[in-house]
Amino acid sequence: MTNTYWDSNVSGTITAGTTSATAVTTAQLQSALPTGFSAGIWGIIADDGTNPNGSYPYLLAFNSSVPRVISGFIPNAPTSSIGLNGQTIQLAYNGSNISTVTTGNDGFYYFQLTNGTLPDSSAFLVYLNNATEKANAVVSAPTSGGSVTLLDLANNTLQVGVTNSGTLSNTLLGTAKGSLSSTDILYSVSSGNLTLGNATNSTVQFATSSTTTYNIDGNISYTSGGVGNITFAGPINLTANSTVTAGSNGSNTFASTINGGFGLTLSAAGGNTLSGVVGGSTPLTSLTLSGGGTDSINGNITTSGNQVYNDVIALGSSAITFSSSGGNITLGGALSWSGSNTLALAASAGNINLNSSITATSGTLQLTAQNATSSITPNSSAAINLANFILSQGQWYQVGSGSLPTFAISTHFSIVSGAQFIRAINGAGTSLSPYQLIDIFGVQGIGSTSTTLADYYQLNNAINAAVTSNWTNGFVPIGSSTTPFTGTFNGQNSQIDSISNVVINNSGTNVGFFGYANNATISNMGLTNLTITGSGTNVGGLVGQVAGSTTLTSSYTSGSVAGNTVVGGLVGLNAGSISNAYSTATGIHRTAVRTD
Amino acid sequence: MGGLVGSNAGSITTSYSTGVVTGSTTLKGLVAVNTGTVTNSYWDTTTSGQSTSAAGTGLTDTQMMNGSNFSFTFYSSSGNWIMAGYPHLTMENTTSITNAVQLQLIAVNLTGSYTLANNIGATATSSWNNGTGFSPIGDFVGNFNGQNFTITNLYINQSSTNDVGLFGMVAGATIQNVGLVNPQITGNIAVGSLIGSINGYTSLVTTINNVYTLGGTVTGSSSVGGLLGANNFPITTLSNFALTNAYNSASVVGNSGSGTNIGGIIGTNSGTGGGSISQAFNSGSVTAPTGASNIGGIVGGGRNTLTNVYNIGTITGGSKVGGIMGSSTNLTLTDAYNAGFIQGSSNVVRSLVVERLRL
Repeated sequence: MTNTYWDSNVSGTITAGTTSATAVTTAQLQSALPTGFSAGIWGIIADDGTNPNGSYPYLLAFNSSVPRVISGFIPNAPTSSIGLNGQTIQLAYNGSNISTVTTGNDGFYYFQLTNGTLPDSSAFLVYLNNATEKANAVVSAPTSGGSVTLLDLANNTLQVGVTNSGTLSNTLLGTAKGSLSSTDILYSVSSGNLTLGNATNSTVQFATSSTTTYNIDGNISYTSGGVGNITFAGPINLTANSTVTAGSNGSNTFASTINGGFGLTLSAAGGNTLSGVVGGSTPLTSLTLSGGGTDSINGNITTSGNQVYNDVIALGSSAITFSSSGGNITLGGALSWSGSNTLALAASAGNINLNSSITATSGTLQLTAQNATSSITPNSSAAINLANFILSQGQWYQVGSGSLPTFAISTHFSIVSGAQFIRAINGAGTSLSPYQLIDIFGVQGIGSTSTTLADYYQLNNAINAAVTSNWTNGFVPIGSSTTPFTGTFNGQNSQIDSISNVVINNSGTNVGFFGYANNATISNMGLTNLTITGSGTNVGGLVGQVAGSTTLTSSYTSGSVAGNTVVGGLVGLNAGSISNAYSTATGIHRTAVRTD
Repeated sequence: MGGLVGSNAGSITTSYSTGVVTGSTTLKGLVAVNTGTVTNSYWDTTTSGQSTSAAGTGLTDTQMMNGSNFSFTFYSSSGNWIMAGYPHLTMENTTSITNAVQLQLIAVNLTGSYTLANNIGATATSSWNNGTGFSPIGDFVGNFNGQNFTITNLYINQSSTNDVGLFGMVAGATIQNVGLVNPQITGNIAVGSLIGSINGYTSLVTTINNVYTLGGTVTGSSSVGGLLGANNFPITTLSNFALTNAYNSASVVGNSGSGTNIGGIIGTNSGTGGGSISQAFNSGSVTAPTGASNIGGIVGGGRNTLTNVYNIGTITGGSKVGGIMGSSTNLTLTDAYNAGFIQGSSNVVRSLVVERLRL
């Protein structure tokens, strides 16, 4: 024998007798034309010599151009429970089985299709014929007659795409299968909707390759009772409104980006994971996360319409923005993250509905909603525990009827100019029903807009405002000369303790717990252990400047008050009426001004 | 800049300031610049360091602690102000007491339930009210729970006032879990560091439990006790107070030669039934001059049910001087002893208690 070879991987081990032929591995036999083979007669798609990712030598006489190879291993090779060799593998395209092979000793299967048999860019289906194991793969045929190798099948898995394969979709999966009916095919497609599992086998994992773009052009779900995870390792384009529903207790995983001007609803009892940016190139029209699992979000999410988060959410550790240009953002499940990163909820033309807790004791929450009444509505379940809270735009309205959920901000709390913040345990802000405030955050909200500055307030309980020492520049004086406090504030000190430990660092004019009060009524207000560090004019412990017909009665201050000119322990500049008041505040002095 | 207001163009009435005013611009006590009206308002010339103000009345720090210097409406059944050192607003009353001012402000709500939130330092009370100190609280009908905290250096110096103590008079109150450290209490009749007298003209029962003194002096003419001055109970035979778990180590001093009823725990425990005392002892000295009568280690005089009590303090008086009681009728005494030195100015040192238990 001369120039004879055998594939020792596929053929199996010689158990008797001898051969003078040369044993080579599959990869070796696919690496180059074997010694002695004539290149005028033989052709080959050379592999790398290590993996079987080329072709066996083929005869040029039957292949005027390079053939297309489809190859790989069957599930669990080389230790399949069903045995590796002799398993039937079908190759289907456009609803027809176009080729059948059986596996070699090591589970290797190998289709060699003459050029043109399988058109470029057409989706084809490779599936295992076996009563026990089910394995499917759908791939888009490469352009220019390219091969698909290393297409290893996995048990109970619909594998979509391989390295460098093209775009697939529900519809293309349907095209590959066509009207074929087999219990070995683990999915069906109707009207663009992909259903995973079949009558005899409902356990299917769906997984795309990381380099495969998938166009979701319809719903994806399971047959009744179906079990499995849906994993998109590659980028997603939405080309229709879609709902993706994992199997029972299964998960939905999107490892890459999602784009497209359509709505997406995800439902997975085992949780939805969004690792990539959603809507970064083309915003989705809407996004809904549900299913009752714990969802994981690691990238920005942009939609033109509503975003609804019904599940518990664990946020990633980098800054993340949920942005809706025209819709609402609704949180319905507990949301938390452990890092110091910021979550920005931005519904610049819509509302933010907070129906669940937000917990990030090192993190920052930034809220932006439309500038309209009650555009941000935390409900009774919306316990907030954060390091930092920034209300950038919108009107936070949180008025309880006897109780309020936690609102704990350990470091910085700020209300950006123009935003409104109302947090009261009861009341309507009216004379008959004043807002009843329970914490320094609600008190700080008084100063947020001209509306709140005109309302009626009373304290519901003693407030320790020591946290204001952590705020940048401390507590912001309520009311200014341009937007003065014109409302009514009753400290209720006859029934409760006062507000203690307020810290204010402010170099401006009209600085005090109230900066500027005009035609206002302030009574029963005890401010103890104040620390006001001002350097401007009209600095007072309780009020910087009292103007108009303001009355200030039964109030007192203690602590320290510092300013430059027109400084008083109780009031800086008074043009109103003060009675039954006192101050024991010390350190009322001109702030040292460095001139060097 | 001013202690209360920097610049006033409006009105200021019934107000004051005490703040330290320092700096480099116009410094005034109450108001720095005034073009408005200021009436009945004051500043502390001592603490502020300012002898002048654009308006208002300057008072020394001593004067600032004397209510008679203010044209304020002070609290009786109403009124905005109450003296507690400086004038304070009655609205400052709080049920969780952290300092001596808040202790004094119990006076504006006598039905409340109060607790001490920490040990109270009351040294400053010696300069209150022109040197007469803390004003006894009463009739207190609420609850007071010291939560095992103490009140140190409580000072009352009102030798012509009756019913003197932290609580001047109580009725149906509950007072418990508090220690008075070094109280300095002086009154006339019915003087005790904790309670001057228990109002006997009601059917309410006062409960006192787990109270004590550590050192100090309680001084009065009659019905003087280390903890309680007098239980005045003329109405029924029922006991109208129960005192349990108490001890006194303050010196109890009767300062009248005609005084009666000076005791280590309580001076007078009168009425047909008296009050019951159980688990109590006295280790302070009880001293009354020649002529004073009814001097005892636990009770000066009265009708009593005493159980598990003892005295180890020195008891000195005129007549009817006893280790447990000076004079008693209807005494029920169970499980008691005296180990203190007993001396009288005459030879009438004859209390039953003395006869039975003097060791």
